[in-house]
Amino acid sequence: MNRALRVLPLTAVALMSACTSAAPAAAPAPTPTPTVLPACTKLPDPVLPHSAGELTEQQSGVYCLPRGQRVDVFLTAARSSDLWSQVQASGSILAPTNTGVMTAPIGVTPAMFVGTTDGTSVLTSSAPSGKTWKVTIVVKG
Amino acid sequence: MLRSALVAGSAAALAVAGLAIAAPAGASELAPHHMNAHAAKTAATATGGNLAYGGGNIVTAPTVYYVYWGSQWGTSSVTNDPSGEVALQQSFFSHAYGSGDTFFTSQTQYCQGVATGTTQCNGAGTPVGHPASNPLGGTWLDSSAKAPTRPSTAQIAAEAVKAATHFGISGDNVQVVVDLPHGVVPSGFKTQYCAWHDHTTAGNGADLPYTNMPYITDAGSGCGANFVATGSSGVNGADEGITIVGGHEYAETLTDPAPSSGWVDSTGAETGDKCAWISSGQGASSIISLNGANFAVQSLWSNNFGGGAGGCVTSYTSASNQH
Repeated sequence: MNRALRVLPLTAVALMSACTSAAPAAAPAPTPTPTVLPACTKLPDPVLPHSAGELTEQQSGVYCLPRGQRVDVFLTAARSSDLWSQVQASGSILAPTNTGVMTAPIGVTPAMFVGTTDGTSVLTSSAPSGKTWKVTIVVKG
Repeated sequence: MLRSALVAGSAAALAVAGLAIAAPAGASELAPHHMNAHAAKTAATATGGNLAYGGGNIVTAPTVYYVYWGSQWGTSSVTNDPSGEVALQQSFFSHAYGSGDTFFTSQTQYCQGVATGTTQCNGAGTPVGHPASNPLGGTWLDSSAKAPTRPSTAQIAAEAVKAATHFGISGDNVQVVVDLPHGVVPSGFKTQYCAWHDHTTAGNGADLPYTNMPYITDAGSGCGANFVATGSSGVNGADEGITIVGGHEYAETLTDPAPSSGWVDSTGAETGDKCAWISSGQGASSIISLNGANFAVQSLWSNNFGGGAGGCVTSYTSASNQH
C-alpha cells in the first residue's frame, strides 16, 4: 500500500469527524446566557380593569410585572405649571397600550404598558421644575 | 484538495454560526413611546397620529341605558342628587340625535368591515351610527341595596350586567352607564380617572359595553367643573364635567366598544383621549348646542380634519365642513 492509500482513510475519517463536529455549530442557535433579573416588589393594586397594578409619582424602585400583563402609570402634577412629561419606557420589553378607556383628571399624565418579553425596562418622566420620576419594571413570565 | 474542503467547510460553519449569533443583536426595537399628557393644554396634541381601525366592532346603532346604582340615590325615585346629574345626563343624550347634533357626527367617519389599519373609511364598510331620534333607551334606579362605598371594578361590571338583564339588552350597540351615587368613590376616582369604559359579558354570553361613571361633580375642577367659560349659555359651570366626561366616554364607546379592538392611535389613545382638556385653540372645549339645548363638551378626534392630517373638532357636518 503506498503512502497515499494509507493516508486517505485517515484523512476521510478526519474530514467526516470535522464535518460532524462543524455541523452542530452551524445549525442551532447559540446557548443563551441566562439573564439574572433583579429582585422586584409587587405592584400596588390597580384601579382599572385588566391591570396588574399601578404606579404614581409616589413610587420608586423596582417592581414586578408578569409577562403579558399591564401596568398603569398616573403622574399627578403638583401644580398646573409643572405637568409631568409623557412617560418613556426604555428598550422594547414594554409596549404602550390603550389609555383611552378612561378620562384622566386635569393635571394627570397617564400611561399604560404591557410586558411583552422577560427583562427590565426603566420608566421615566420629568417635570419643568426639574423633578424626575423613575421606576424599573422587571417583566418575567 | 481534501484539506481545502475541510477548511472551507469549517469556515462556512463558522460563518453560519456567526450569523446566528448576530441576528438577535440586529433585531429592531419598538418606536419610542409617546403619550398625551391629559392636562389643560392649548392645542390638540398630535402624538400617536390618526386613529386606525383595529378589526373589531364599532357601534352602528347606539342606544344608551343608565342604571343609578344603590339606594343612596333614593328608594323609589332619585331623591339624592345634589348636583342634578341625572337630569343633566338624560337631557344631554336625549338631545344627541339627528341634524340638530353636529357634535357626535364627527365619529360617523369611523367604520367597521374594512381592513385592519385603515385610517380613512371614505364610505367603505359600516359607519358608526348617528341616531335619528333620542338614543336614550332607558333608565333604572337599582335601589335593591346600597352601592359599596368603594366598589371594585368587578362589582361595577357586575352591576352593568345586572342592569342589562333588567333592560333585556346586550351586544355592542348598547352601552350601559353605571351611575354611582354622590359620595361613593371607587378607588382611583378623582386622582387617577374621572370615568372609564370597558366591556364585559352579558348574561346571554354576548358582549356588553359599559361605563363606570362616578358622581362627577364630587371631583370638582379636576374632572371639568368650570373648565369652559359659560357666558350667557345657561350652562352651570360646576356641572360642566358631567357632559364633558360623559361625551368623552360615549364617543369612545361608539368607536371602541370592546377596547382596544376598535379605533385607537399608535399609542393606544382613543378619540376622546386625544382631545381631553384642551383649553384654547383648535379643538378647545366649548359650549355647544344639541337640538337647541346647550352643553359643555370636549372636542373629539377627526381623522379627516385638515385634509387627513387629523385634529380635534366640536362641530362636524362633513369632511370639508368641520371645526
